[in-house]
Amino acid sequence: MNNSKERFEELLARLLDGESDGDERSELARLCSADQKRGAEVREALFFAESLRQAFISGGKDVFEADLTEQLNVAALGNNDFKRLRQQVVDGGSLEQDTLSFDLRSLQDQPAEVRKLRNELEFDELLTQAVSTSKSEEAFVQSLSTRMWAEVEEDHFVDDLSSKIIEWDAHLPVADAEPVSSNREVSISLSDTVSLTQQAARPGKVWSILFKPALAAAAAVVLTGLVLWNVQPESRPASLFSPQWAQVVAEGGDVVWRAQEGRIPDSKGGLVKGVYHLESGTVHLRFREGAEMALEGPAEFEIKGKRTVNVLSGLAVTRSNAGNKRNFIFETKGLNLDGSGSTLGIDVRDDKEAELVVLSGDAEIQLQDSAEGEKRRLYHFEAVRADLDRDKLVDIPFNSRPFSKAWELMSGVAAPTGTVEVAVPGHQSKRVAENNRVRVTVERDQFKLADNEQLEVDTLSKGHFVSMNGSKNGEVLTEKGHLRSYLLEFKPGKDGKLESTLEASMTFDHPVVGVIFSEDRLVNSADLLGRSGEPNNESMASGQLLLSDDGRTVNLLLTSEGNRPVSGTVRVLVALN
Amino acid sequence: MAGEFSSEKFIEYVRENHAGLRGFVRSLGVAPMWVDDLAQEAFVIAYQRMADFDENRDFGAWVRGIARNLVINERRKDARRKRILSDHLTEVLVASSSLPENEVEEKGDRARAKALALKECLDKVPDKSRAMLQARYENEQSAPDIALQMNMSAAAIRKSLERVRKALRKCVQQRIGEVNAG
Repeated sequence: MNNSKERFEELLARLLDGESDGDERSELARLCSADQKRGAEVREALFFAESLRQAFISGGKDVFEADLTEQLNVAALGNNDFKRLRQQVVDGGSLEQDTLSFDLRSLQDQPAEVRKLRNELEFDELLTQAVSTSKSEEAFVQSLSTRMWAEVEEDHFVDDLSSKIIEWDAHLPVADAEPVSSNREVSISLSDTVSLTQQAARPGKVWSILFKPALAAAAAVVLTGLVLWNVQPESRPASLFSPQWAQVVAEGGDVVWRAQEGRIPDSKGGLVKGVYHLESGTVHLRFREGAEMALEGPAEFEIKGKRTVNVLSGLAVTRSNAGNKRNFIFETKGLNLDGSGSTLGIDVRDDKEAELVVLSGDAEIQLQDSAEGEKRRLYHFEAVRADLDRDKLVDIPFNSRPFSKAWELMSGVAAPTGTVEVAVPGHQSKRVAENNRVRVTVERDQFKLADNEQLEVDTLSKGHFVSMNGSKNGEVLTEKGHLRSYLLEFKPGKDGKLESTLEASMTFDHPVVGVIFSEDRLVNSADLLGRSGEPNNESMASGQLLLSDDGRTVNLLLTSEGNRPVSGTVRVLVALN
Repeated sequence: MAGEFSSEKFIEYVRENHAGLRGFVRSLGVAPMWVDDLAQEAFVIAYQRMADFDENRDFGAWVRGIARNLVINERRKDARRKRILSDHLTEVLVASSSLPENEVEEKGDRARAKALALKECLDKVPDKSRAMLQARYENEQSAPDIALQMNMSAAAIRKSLERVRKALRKCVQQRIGEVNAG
């Protein structure tokens, strides 16, 4: 036996040294087959020798050690290592090499474990899709369609075909007339666990999508109609089936949508083509093609296309953004309203007539059914009534007060502290004087500085309070894009005194690019911006102003100085694009 | 570009394959937050290349091949832009997925059936476990965070999640088996 062991070691040494011939290797094999331990010993010795060889070829001790460690780890990997790794990967833990007890590459020698890991990851993904609304089929498809839309729109074909792609089966189940609160999540359930062919064979339970012929190339848009949904009665998610043209960006009050013969926004507030009925509350919609609309419920409207909306009933404030290549058309009963850069109030609470007020800018209106095609241009603070029985436009007194609630959302300023009132243009509320509050009015809704116009604003340092009293450093506003100016007014209380301290905070939808509070600059800017009356800073009390670091929030801190009354004016300019 | 194929067909392809594709992408070690992004990229590329697609082939396998290449490309990106968890892990996982067409588990129909079955199985999960799943997958909370919320230890949460996942897997397998048998 001893002889055998010595011979084995001799033959192995010769093998490792590359000196063994064929006969010797055969002899070594025979010795190994007689004793399995010898086989393992040979494998280990060869592995070590190979590691040494590679180390020297690679030219360094460090490389050799790393390689050797890796190789040894292969042998050392056990069930617990895999289990830990799987848990770590599934739970999203760190996979930095230094946090692991072995080299990840060594996994390749364990295909079964790798397969198991892949299966667990796949299952975890399916579980995420099933549990998380943000990972749901609906969300994925919506996101994919938006992405494809954006990528394909550059080719222009989607734009051309979009309006004629999707039609609904006329026999689709109509949603029940139960109101759907926006606070409640829209629930969508997939149909039973059956194969797709089985699903398709149950027409009564699924939506179907019809396509006009010759629209084969428009898959990007059609993608929005991907899924065969089995929709619960009261919820009819709109965004899955056609391009999303608008988005709910803000809400006020108790918003309830009624899914009666119409649609409701999807769970993320997206709106597609169709009729919507807002039962209560106020909503602010932003359209993809550069327009906005705020409605106060009850109101009904129809999104007719990417640039056309029809206000069917209720109160609405609309804004068509200046600078759009193509005009956005708002329609209402019997009227077409074309007003790029204008803000309009539409009152169609009455079946027989529609009232229109111009809150900002100017607009062209046209009676749709008038034999003469009566057209008229309306200017700032003008108002007309369309008498639909007589196809006639009648001048009426300007009254913007009915639009106060809708305007709060459209004004672009949020003031959660309660000491700020957002005033609808053209309506002078007495509440400011009565309650010691700051009133915010939009002076000019959308404008651009002409080349020969200069506007000097007070110098501010974001994140630092600045005193509003005394002379201040100024700078010329360099913003070249569209701007909006707000007037902030604060007046004394009933007795002409500020009780103690008035703090007011307001956050703007758009970045603040300039603030004017020094008297000379207020006066100088009045001609350009001052549509709401002359500023009055004669008796400005001690006041401080802070523009937040993100440039969106303005804080005012006004303190009384003995019997000196507090009143004053501040202009805030925001950049719209 | 893609003018000759049927859009209805493409819709069908996406509908049938998105769940499986997302699972496949994740199984290659893509970070969870980037799975949808990468899967969508694969669909966009597939759409752009539909003219090259042979309709006699399995669309799922084709789009998985595209996704696989996208994942491989991730390894070449600099660390900041990578959408994968680990170069080495993805290397191993990609290598093990070299023949997606042969992997029955990843066929579109199969993955979709799994997803549907999973939805049904989830309905049977007890409230507490459901809350745990919700916290983990909907709110993306870590085990220690869930533990704080549920007054349990992080280890217990991990263990519970593991058990729920295991039970759900079993349920899904049974359901698919029932459907196939039926």
